[in-house]
Formats: sequence, structure tokens, C-alpha cells
Amino acid sequence: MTTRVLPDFERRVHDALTAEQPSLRPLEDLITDGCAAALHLETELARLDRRREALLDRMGQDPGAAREALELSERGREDHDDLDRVRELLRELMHLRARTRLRQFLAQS
Amino acid sequence: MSAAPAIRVLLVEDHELYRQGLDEMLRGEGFAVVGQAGRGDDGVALALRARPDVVVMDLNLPGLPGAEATRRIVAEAPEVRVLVLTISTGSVELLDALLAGARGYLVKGAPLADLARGVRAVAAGELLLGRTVADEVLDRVRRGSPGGARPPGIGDLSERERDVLRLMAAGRDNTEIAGELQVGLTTVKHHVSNVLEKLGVENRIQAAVAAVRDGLV
Repeated sequence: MTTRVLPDFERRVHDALTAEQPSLRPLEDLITDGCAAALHLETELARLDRRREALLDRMGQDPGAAREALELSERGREDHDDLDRVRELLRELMHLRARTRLRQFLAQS
Repeated sequence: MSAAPAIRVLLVEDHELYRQGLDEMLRGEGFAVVGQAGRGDDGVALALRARPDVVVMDLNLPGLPGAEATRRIVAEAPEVRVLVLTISTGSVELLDALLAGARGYLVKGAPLADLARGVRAVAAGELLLGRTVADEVLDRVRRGSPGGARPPGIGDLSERERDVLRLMAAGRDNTEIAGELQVGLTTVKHHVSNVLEKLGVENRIQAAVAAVRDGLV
């Protein structure tokens, strides 16, 4: 999922960050999209951890278990990298949201 | 020895992707998700029918805002605990939901472990409030209580300023207020400035809170 979702999310974040006057509601929708992506990645990481623990128990009896555990570790590393990137983008969006709210308040006061 | 029954959770969130993500995460952590709703009014109906242990409730919902949905659920089914979902902690809507009876809040971007821990804590009867938000809630309750120091209130406002404040609390911007009251933008800015000064507040959000507190809206 992440290989499809992350580039699209990055592009939309870039568009928001370079927009002249972003609107609050679409910005908040984009933040929630990012939160959903982060949640999905964390859930996937938790699932991989549980699977890896089960494989560790079988490692002595099943020669394939070690190979599968290694593959899971590699996938977990990729998901971790994606999660770090999504959280970094979310931080930028939250800063942008704060600036947007301030701009709207100043425009109205 | 039998395992404790799974905590029953209802999700009320209009963002489908996030709702599905929460569903997936909670099931993975051993919770029983008994239902989902994308609208506030549907969420109330589902909560009253399913009587879950915890309702995870978004704030900005179509049909019925999260704060009002919370108030209705707590009034009809006080045993159901409502946990609010929010993007950040600095909103009037969050305070409204907490004063309506929500047991706490979760920030949407929080790590999975914090989200799961939050639902478990509220199911166990705990309150889930950060220090800053707890202080704001207490401040609002104190300012609304008869024994508390009386802050500047809407009684100090002219009739026109009350009209402006009512529209501010409804989320209208200055241009919309000017249109509704059929006055110029400069006049509205003047009224807004007077309202902020007389209420002793710094921004429109605080003014809206004062309007709610004093029963103007």
C-alpha cells in the first residue's frame, strides 16, 4: 500500500506547502489522510512483529522460518522508513495549519 | 482461567480511510469494533442501540457535530464512555465536547500504542486529558460557576455587538457578518474589536467560548 500512497501524499503535501493561501478545511483533510497512512503503517508493523515472534518460536524445527523472518525484517525496515517520512510531512503540515489559522484570524480581526 | 471480554468500541469518524485504519488497528490490538458511522446523527443512533464500552468520536462530522452527538449519547446512556478524536488540542469544539461529557481525547496523529492505551484507559473509567486542556476546561467551568470571579461578560455589549458576537460564534467571517447585518466591513471590524476588548479576550475563538458560556448561543 505504502509504495502507492506515499508518493501521492508527498505530492499533495508539496502542493499544500507551496500554495499561496491554503484553506484550512482541505488542509485538515490532508492531515487526516496522513494520520490514516501513519496508522496503517503502524498497524502493519505491529502485525509483522507478531508474525516474526511466532516464527522465532519455530526457528529450530523449520528451516524456512529463518528466511521468512529475515524477509519480514526487511519489509519492516521499509515500513519504518515510510512511517518516519509520513510523520515528518505531518509535522510540516501541522506548522502550515498553525500559520494558516493565524493568517485567517489576522485577516478577520 | 477465562480471558477478559474484549472492550467494545464504536467508531464515529467521517474520514473513511482514517476510520478503516482505526478499525484495523483496534481489531489488531484485541478490541471488538461493534460498529462504524460516518455521521454524527448515525453515531448517536448506533451508540444507543449497541451500547459499546467506548465511542471514539470525531469532532467535525456531517449530520451532527461531535460535541452535540457526545451530549446526546451521555444523556441517554451515561454508561457509554465517549473519547474524542481531534487533530490538535487548541479548539473550542474540543472543549465543548469535554464539557458535554466526553471522558478525554486522542490526537489523530498519536502513535498506535498511545491510541490503544487511551481507549483502554477510558474503558476502565479513567479521564484522558492533557494538562493544558484540563486547565482550559477547569477555567471554563470556573468562569461559569456562581462562586467564581465574574469575568467581563456579554452584558457589557451593545445589542449590535451581541449580534456580531452571535455570528462570530457561528463561525462567520467579517465579510459574511457584514452581509448578514447589511453593514460595511469597516463597521464590522470596529464591532469585532469592541467585542474582544469588552470581553477581555484576545481572539475570536475565546470570544465564541464567552458567547457559549454566557448563553448567547
